[in-house]
Amino acid sequence: MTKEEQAKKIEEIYNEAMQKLEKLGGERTNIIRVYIKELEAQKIDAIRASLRISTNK
Amino acid sequence: MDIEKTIAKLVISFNEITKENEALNATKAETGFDNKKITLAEQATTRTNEINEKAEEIETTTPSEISQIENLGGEIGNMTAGVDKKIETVKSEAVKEIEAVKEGVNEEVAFGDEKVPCKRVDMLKEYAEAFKTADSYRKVGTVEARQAKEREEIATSQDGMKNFAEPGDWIIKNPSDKDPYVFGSKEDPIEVRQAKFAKKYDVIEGEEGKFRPKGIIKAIKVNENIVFDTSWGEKMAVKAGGWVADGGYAIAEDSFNNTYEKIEEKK
Repeated sequence: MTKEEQAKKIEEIYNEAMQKLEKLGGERTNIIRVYIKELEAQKIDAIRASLRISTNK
Repeated sequence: MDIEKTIAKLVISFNEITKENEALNATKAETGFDNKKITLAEQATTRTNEINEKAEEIETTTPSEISQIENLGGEIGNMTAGVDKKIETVKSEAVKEIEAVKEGVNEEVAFGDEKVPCKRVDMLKEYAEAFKTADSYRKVGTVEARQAKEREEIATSQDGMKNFAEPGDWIIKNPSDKDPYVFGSKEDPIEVRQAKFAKKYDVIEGEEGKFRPKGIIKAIKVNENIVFDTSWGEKMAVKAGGWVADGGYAIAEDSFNNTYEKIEEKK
């Protein structure tokens, strides 16, 4: 394998790894977003519930 | 006055350096990543660092909403553990592969069930000088050989070679080898391969299927695992301790030791 071929191979490995990392980064962000949305929904429900209790009083 | 002249000179030098930098940046921008201007080692290091940085950036970056929620760090860590593990795997594998390419150990070859990293070489070119002064060897003993009646695959686990025998091809098995191999170069037509077999091996009268080799080869012991393409376009590999022959093929260590003997020079 010549130096040029080695350089090209390194670029290929790099590009492939970066592509995979970008994809995994997206997956990771999505997991967190979904979780935060769920927590927000739970908080809103809790606030609603407490408001109902307050109103009833 | 002198100070003004010095300042003027410095301004000219500064402008020249700026122009050179601009030209260099323009070249880099055109080529994306200018491989020719940096050494392989630098390129490997740069790319490895970039992969590490990217992985770290992903692992530490979270959506802006996170700042609105308190005490989530630990829980998020648990939820993303699977993805984080994948990120770490991608990162470490890529870094390992880049290092392997840089070192020249760049291909994994299966020797039976074992996968061995091998340096890819242009074998005849790599050992051209060494063959000029290499010792000569001849085969000892006899070999078993048969002619293929139909096309068949001959897998040779001992030296990582896979080959096909066409009808009429000679399939040879050395007494000490686990596997047989197909004789001759596929660049030659079948008639030529058969003629070469007849030229290289003598029939042993009264012992069907047994032949005595006539040929002499020049061979070199290799001190690293190598993989190469033969002149007939097939992939061949040999582990350190094995041998390469001037015919453009490799012979595994055990096979060579059991099959060849050195021809001592006459003094």
